[in-house]
Amino acid sequence: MISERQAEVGVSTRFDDFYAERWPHAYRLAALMTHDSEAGADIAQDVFANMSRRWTTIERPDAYLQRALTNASSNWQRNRRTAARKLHLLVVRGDDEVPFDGLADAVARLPFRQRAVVVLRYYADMSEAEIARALDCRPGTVKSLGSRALAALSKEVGQ
Amino acid sequence: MTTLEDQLRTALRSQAHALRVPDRPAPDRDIVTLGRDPGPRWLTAAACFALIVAGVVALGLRGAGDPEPAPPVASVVPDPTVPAPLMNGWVGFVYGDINLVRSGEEARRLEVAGSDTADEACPAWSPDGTRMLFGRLTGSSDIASNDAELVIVPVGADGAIGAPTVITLDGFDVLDGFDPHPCGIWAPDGRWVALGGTGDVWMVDTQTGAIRRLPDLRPSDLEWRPGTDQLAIAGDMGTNRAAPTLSTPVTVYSVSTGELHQLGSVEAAQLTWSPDGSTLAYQGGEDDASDLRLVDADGANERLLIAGTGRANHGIGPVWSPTGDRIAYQRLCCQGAETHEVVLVSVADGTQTVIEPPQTDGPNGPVRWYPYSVTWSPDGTTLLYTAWSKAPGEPGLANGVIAVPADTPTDVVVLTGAIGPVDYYSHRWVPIQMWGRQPGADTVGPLPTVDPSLIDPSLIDPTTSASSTTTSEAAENGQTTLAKGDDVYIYGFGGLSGRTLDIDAQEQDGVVTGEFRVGGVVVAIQCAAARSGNQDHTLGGVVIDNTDGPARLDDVNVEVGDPLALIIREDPTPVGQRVTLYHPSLWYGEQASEHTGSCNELVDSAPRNLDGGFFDNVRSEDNINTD
Repeated sequence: MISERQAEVGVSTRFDDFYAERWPHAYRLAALMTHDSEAGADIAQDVFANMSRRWTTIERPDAYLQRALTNASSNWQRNRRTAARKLHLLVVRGDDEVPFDGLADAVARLPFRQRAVVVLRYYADMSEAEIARALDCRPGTVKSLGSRALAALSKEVGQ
Repeated sequence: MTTLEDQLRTALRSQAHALRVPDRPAPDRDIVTLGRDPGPRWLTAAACFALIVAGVVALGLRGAGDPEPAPPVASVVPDPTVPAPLMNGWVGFVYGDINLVRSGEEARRLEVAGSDTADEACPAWSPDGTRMLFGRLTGSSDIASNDAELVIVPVGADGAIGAPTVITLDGFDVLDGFDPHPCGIWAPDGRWVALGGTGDVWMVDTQTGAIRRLPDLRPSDLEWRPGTDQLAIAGDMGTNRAAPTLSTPVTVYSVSTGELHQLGSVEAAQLTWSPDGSTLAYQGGEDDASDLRLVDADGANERLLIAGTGRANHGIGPVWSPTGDRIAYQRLCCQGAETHEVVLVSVADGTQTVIEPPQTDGPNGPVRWYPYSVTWSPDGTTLLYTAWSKAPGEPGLANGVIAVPADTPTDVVVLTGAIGPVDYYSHRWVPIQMWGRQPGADTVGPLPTVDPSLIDPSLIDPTTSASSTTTSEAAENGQTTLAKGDDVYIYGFGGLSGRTLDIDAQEQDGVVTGEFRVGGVVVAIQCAAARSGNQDHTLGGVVIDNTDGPARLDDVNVEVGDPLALIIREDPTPVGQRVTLYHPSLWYGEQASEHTGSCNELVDSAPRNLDGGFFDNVRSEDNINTD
């Protein structure tokens, strides 16, 4: 008998399959949001580890994954700042940083929530409603964050 | 012409696909955290390539299995007939920001200064129904701080709001992976607020902004005992979200005395107090038995109410009704992994009444509502669900808040069909204060009040400074320095310090007393009620150290006026041992775990500056070893 969750997932019904299919996308999404490839891999690993434990309780894995990645990236960003404040030392992790340039580099300099909106919108092709769900905010806030991000990027690239 | 948006798509995708996707760790479900060590679990390059291909395919299929964005349940018409005699009627919920809704009215946003730029969550009504508390994270840039704050907003019966009070929680953080917001719960006195941090419990005095931190606690539940200043703390959520929630001994903390003691031999992960504060009901964690048990408030007379409440994947554990006669809990039902029903248990005889998932009319037919959490209205007549909705054969619809009359559960009212995603695994203690009580309502009984004799006057006087209060006697005399017999307030939790004092202490009938000198003034100390094992979380006090000194000394810079923590480290406490003063800013996570002991109680009073410069004075004393 097919379970309710299995019916809803559609693409994958086993965690192993879901994990294999979503891993690269999850890694890239987290790396883009954190601007750190190592952090992206760590975050993706942690999120999948958590999902594997709770797999039988998750009915909407894709929505869960998107939100968990966004939350974890946000937490990572916050923790990095906290650590920097505690240590009075900003560690430059040059080897781990995603080698951005030009416009993508400007994206990396955006505040986290603006950057998340840009990455989720223009990389992951998520709708405003989906982004709002991932960021736990109103669709109107997504619109506002997106428009502020585009304004900042326009200025950066001279458009 | 290429638009900026097109350029962004191209740039981000180029960047993403230029990234070398690391092999994923083996999907071993026994590994709680898959780990950052790539070692033996990494797959071959060929497999990696295959996964990249699969990932590209998956990206293309993104959302194929996702539910579509849920439209608000437009067909729901608020029912103005739902009475609210004992409540202000306002239910707080999160939809991007804090919102208020009550039956018969449209939801409205609770907007205060900073709302536009902050992330807000966890609304909780004060016990008297006049103030809304919520947590928020401010700042969104990578450079600016993203500090945590508690916000308290007066709310009138008509929903009009007053000037907010903002309390900054410097250094606040949460366990890895959990909802990052500070989520507080009001004490019955409407003054103190408790919340969980990173391996500690924060106690915030909302009148003075003073903060106490109880270390080595990762609770899954915090419940204030009605009519008292006591907070029951239970459960261990592990070091991160992937860890299972386990039961722990139930610990009770008293704000007025600073005492922390175990409640008999009770172990639990979820708690709920009876409304008269006489009895605690509790359950174990995910990996423990799901029996619902009762125990008297003094830890005696443990007894079974019902065996086997079933399994739940969501929820906040049992919730005692304000009328005292029933306890609500939720359990899995309906062949789903997130589908729960609610059960009401009669406290008198253990009989159970099942409330199936309520049903309303949706856009395309009937819609079922499955609770994330369930709690009670202040008058005890109505259950409040945060819930998700689903129509047969369709993906999940909106999250919402619904009111379900406990005795006529078919008369469900959807208060709102649009709330933010529910993080059903964090801050399980918060939802019980979603529904505001009517100011002055006393039909069910008087509002819980704290016995004045339990509270040191210096803690109640709102004009008292958090850093200069004294004991009651000292306060009456206008003293600002310590005197013999004064109790020492234990403020914060230090990790390391470089100060050691000699002390003469003695133990009698489980109470340790002693004296030490501060700035030429003899200070009495007292420690009572030993605890056992490494579960001891001393609330600060005097360290009476059996060893040659603190385990570690560090080059700590302690400023004049800094709060101090004094810790009892060993038990039985010997006579004539040494005292170590700790500096609270240095007590973090793992360091704290090194400081275990069993004598955890000190009579305390209030924070104080010790004679204007404690360490300056300490240095002047001959009997102090400053190694």
